[in-house]
Amino acid sequence: MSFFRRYRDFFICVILLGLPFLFLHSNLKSPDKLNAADRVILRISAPVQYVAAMLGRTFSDVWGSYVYLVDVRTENEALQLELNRAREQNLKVATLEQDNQRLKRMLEFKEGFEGDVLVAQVIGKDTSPFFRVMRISVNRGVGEVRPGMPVMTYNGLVGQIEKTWSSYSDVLLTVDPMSSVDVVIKRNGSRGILKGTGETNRYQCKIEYLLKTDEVRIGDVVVTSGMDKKFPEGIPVGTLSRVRKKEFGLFQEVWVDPAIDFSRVRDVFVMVSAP
Amino acid sequence: MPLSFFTPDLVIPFVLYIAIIDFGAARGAALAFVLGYIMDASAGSPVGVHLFVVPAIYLLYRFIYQKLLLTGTLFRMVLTLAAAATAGLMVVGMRALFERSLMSFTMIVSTLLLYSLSTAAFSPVIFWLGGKLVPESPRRQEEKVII
Repeated sequence: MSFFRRYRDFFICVILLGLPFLFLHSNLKSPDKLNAADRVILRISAPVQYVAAMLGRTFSDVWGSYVYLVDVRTENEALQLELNRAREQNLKVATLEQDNQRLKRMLEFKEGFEGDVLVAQVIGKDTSPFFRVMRISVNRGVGEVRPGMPVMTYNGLVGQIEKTWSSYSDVLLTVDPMSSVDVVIKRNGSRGILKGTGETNRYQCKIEYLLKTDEVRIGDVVVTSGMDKKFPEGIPVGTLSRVRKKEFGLFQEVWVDPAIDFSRVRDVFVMVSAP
Repeated sequence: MPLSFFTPDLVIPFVLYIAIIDFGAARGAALAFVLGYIMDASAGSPVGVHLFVVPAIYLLYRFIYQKLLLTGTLFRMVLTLAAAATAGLMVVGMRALFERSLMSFTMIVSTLLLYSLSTAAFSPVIFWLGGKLVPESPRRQEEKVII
């Protein structure tokens, strides 16, 4: 075994223990007192030190960013929760506002209406998107509800009571083909009979027996005439949406869009005695 | 008392671990040298302090362990306590020698004591982690069985 191999470990250890003193000596020297050897040592150690410091800083940055992101995520979740709560509360306030407006208008309508009316809640509608039946519930003891009584909202006419049992009643809507209401065009007093078209894809009525000589326009407001003795005079029914004058015959064809959206009705009035 | 006084040194127990397994003098010293360099680079101390202390501790305690050949967690903790105290003394000594920086005796004793105790307290974890990273050689395990 050669001399070097025999004492290899010993030499390595001596070098490893001696080198630090050279580094330390050069590092602690004032820059103006550095000699060539010191500069070489510093030049060797500086890049390594730079890489080590950079790695340390990178690790620290990554860790710091991770911790920061964890905080951000927690904060984001908390804010999201707060936002959802605020949205929920906002929705409640909006619903309350709508309810308030609706009830206010109902009260105004009831106070302004000369006849006696009962308030009823809509409890059921046809399951199809365009129902033609509406079931209402009237508080028992408040008054008696009979078939034929007009049903309305503050926006206009809904229909009439078709049948009644216990405290429930079915309402025949104005858009039903079985329904007929005596109406007039508010602008010029032209008279006709409003009947539901019974279309499955929209709510619409037609005015029958409207003379061709009567000048009507799209947008004209249609109200009840009161001539049929079933519905009081002046309740809004809808507006004219289409007019067609036939070449032959006495009457013209007129379509009416209902004044109320049947799918959104929640409370109605049942008129128990005429004004 | 500042919390930094209780900061354990995690390199010293690891170096001790490679000292007590059969890692080879030169290889172990080289690894300790690299670790010391990293410590100097990351700790902000002048390059050379830990560069000397860590390999020196490795070689010194490798020699001591070969004489004692004791095993067990308690022994390792005591060994770490002694090694940490030695390392601390070396750092203080080198600073006094090269930087002319002298601490009061009370300060040196309290700092060394807390540093050594906290390092020794963490040593079982580092020894366990060391065992996962660098498994003990079969020869050293056989020696343990013989003892």
